[in-house]
Amino acid sequence: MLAVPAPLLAALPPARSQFGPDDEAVLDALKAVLYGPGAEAIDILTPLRETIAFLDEAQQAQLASLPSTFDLLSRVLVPTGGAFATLSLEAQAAALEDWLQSPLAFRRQVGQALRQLVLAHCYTHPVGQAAVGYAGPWLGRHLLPVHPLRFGEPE
Amino acid sequence: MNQRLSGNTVEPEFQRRVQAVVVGTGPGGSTVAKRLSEAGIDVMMVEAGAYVPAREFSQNEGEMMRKLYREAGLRTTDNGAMAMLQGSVVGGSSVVNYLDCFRTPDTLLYDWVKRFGLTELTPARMKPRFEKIEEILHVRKLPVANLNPNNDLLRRGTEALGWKGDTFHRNAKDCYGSGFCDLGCSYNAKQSAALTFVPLATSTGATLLTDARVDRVLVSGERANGVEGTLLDEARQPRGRFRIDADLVIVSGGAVHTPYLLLSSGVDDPSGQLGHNFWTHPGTPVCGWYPGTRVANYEGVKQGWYIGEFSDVLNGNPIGALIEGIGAPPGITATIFPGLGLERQRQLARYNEFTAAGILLRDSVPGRITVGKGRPGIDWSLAPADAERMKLAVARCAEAWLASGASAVLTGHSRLTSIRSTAELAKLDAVGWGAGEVALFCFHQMGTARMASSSKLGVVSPTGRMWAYENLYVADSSLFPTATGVNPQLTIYALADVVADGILNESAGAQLH
Repeated sequence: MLAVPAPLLAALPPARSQFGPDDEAVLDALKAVLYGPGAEAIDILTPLRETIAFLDEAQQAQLASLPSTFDLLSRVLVPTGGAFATLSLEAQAAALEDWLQSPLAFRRQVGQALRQLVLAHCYTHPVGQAAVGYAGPWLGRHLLPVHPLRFGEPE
Repeated sequence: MNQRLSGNTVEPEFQRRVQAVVVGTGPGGSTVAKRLSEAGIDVMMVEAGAYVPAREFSQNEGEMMRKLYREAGLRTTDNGAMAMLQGSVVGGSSVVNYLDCFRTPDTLLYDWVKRFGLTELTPARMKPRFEKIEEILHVRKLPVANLNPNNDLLRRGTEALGWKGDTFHRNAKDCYGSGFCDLGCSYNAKQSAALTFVPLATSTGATLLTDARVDRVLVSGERANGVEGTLLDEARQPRGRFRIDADLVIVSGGAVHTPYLLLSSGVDDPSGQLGHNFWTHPGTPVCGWYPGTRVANYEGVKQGWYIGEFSDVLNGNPIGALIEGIGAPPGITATIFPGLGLERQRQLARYNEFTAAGILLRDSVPGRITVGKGRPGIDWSLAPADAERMKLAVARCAEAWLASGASAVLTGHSRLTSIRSTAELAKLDAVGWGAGEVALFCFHQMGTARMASSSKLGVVSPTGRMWAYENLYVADSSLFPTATGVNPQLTIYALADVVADGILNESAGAQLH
């Protein structure tokens, strides 16, 4: 995860071990921007909460503060007229692109970290997987043995 | 496995006295544990991860990333530039790797002998170690007939261009080609350390303590006295403390956590190099698009074919990169494809028509592991010279996909759209390689407690012993004097075997058996 520069830490909410309602609103909004049509059928918040619960204290604090960092700095650096989650889809997309394409490495890192976090959870969801033609686990679909591969002597 | 204890269930203030404590159960730790236990030494293996049997490998990407990978697979370098993937489970990364088995290349062994004085590592002396390890791991060469469409297209491209390439040797037995290697093998086909060296160690008397994170190596004067740490519950949260007193301490936590643990324990390091020389084999994906062809790169043996033409250690090529076929499940693939919303959805709708390969670059400029705030600091960035070689390797991989019929090639860059011909390879000159500009992955972490013949050259002795201590050893990929340039698991097993010999022959270990 990201190392947040020390001066910025002071401006951020205190360290938490789990996402707060505002963080989840940002994550849900990012899901709609990144995934596109059909995003409402995908719940990323439940697995994200499960993921963060697996991390240790230092990691939880970093991850839980990521959406807040993004939202707070978006308002400072790219005046958009309000909290990220309240913007129109077009304005959200523009704001996210501004982070992803920023000449500042830190902003690209935050943008990419959120992008990857959200997309990974969209496409580990059965709805996202079905949308790309991925049938998911073999278990339950194939009765084994199928065809053990032929591992003979070196050719 | 009848000598298994869990941090979930032992008393919350757990204490034990053993002759040898081994921190970590990956290829390095399990090899040493097996050897010492076979010699009659009372060994305890301590593992931060859980014991996860095959029946619990659900093949669900999200769940398994949380259960099997360090930091749920979310760890990156401090600058966020590269994802750092490492197994955190009994068996370590051998449970989640793609089974590739390369012996350490002879050219590399000679280099280690010459530059680092490691005279025990000549190819002739290492050969019987590799043979013994390969027998235990059931290593076999993959027949070409078993290549999945993804790897077969990479093979066709390789051969069309007249390049050197081959199928991998793999540690599998009765593999069904389900394609879930990186999420743990549900069929026990992958012969990971969890199925081989760990049970071989427990079968001769070693004890395994899982769900127990070592926080500190206890040292005084020239001796290590044991370890102490935190017992973890099923959700990986603290539930108690433990302390293991021991006559021998062997640290095998991998090239990130071994130096982190030793540095945060305040051990004396006369070399001043502990945590330095962090090699990563930075990798980036290169995908080919074959409209109308169902490739499904995630089905079958995911990693079957490699291009060795551009490897420095296998073929003397200055690019210094292997190109390996890979299978990418949708969660990871989605993070690679650029774009937002509908545009990205349209690209991903072609998911089953995409091939995938990964570059494995033998990096020339190392990073460094430091003691961060409660966790390892990973100071690393892609050096300009390495970025230039990465670009060349990506271009060669793109050529291979185009030669086997790809209509377009997609790289891991956030701005590049696609390459449709060799003439368009020049697009790679315009893309960036910095943090947030390209998807970089590290599956191999090496070199942070390098082995050498003197403390001027390395952190540990040729037997893996920390110079300032008579009974504190390292046995994992931290030992590597340089990056290997090939998948490292056999090298880890073999160097750990060298360390085990050293422990048994040096005074601290010799008096125990």
